[in-house]
Amino acid sequence: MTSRILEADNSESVTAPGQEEPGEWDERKLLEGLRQGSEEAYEALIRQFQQPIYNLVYRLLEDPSEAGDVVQEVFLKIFRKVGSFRGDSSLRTWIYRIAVNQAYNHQRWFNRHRRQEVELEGPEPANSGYSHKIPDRGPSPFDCALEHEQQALIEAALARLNPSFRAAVVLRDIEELSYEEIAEILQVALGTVKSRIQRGREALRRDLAERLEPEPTYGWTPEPAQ
Amino acid sequence: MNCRQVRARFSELLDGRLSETERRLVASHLEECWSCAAACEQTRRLRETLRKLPALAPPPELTSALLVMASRERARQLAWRTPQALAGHLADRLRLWAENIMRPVALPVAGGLVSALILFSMLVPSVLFLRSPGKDVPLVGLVQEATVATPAPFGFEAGDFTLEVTVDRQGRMVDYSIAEGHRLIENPRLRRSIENYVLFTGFRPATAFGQPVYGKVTVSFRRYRFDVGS
Repeated sequence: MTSRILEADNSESVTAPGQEEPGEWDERKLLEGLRQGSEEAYEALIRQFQQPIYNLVYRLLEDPSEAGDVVQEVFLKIFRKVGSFRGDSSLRTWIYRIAVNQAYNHQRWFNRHRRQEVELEGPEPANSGYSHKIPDRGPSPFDCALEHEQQALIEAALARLNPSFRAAVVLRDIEELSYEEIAEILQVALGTVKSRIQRGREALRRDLAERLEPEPTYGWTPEPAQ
Repeated sequence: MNCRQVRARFSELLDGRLSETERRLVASHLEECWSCAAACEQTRRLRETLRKLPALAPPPELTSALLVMASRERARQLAWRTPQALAGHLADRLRLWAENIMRPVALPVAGGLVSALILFSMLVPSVLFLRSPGKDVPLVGLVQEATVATPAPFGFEAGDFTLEVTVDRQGRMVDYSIAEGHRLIENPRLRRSIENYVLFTGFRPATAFGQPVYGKVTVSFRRYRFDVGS
């Protein structure tokens, strides 16, 4: 077990610079296109960042049904401020920072205004967000069900996590950004990022272990069939 | 390293951010401490599961909304580049604004106008032919002065003089003034006789476009003497 643990994952970002997926624009070219008002650049920006930003915002908000509106606010801010972007950080980091800040702002507004409202239809089910997830037809229905259940539990545990830790864990483990990028996005020191990731993962682990595991050890995740 | 120190390094260990020395220290602790090893394994699985979480597809309407917003923002950005582009952009905005304002009003206004025209064209002939031909006002001489219709049936004796009589719409004297012969009028008795005469005289009122109006009529009195030869 220890040897498997020690096989650490050193790849900190999803795509290394210069290895864009087909159809993706190089960051410099994208930035230049946006500044020149190129229609293709605007479309490419939406194509490349719509889904990750939606995923990030969806997981940072306490009411995920607001994610669409917040994503629109994020892109509006990007479109309006791209001209003044100085390039101190990468475009991706800058966009993620806007998204995180916008989500926090929206959350603050939500806590002030909307929390007191009472919905007539009652709250949505916790796993309603999965009704529109991208389908994957590979595994068997049982595996799918099991995985779906597990994912729903993790999403619920994520939602219960302290917002500061949640942002760090989502950016690191779901968006797979580097510690340095996360520090830039959250505008905190590298040590704070390390601490938040560690404490966030630990809180998640404890939460899931308490809820799922009848045994006192780590059997909450079923082993895949060999 | 004790358990607390090791557990504080799980994330960095799994993310490959520990130095070789620290990694060895943590590894040796995990070999000996079953509890820490189990916790580390759980954290590793948790990390893997988080990475495998499915990407949530944004709602389709979000893509459309973003594309529309991008198009609008791009147009706005391009508009501010040159004065000509800005003028064109503002003209487009103005035209769009005017269209948006006028469009809801255009149909009711056009409908109202057409209805009014139809009603007017239906009503005008009936209004025109209501008048009887016998009472038409002649087009020539649209304004007529007041005149004396019937002199009073009695006379009086006085010198030559002229009155200017104001006549109302009903043909009645409402005022008079002496235009000529002031000296004769100074006699109160004679003045009463003159006033009686004027009051009993019938006047035809002045008309303007066929309608009776206030007017003035000048009446001259001349003394006639008949000499009868003896």
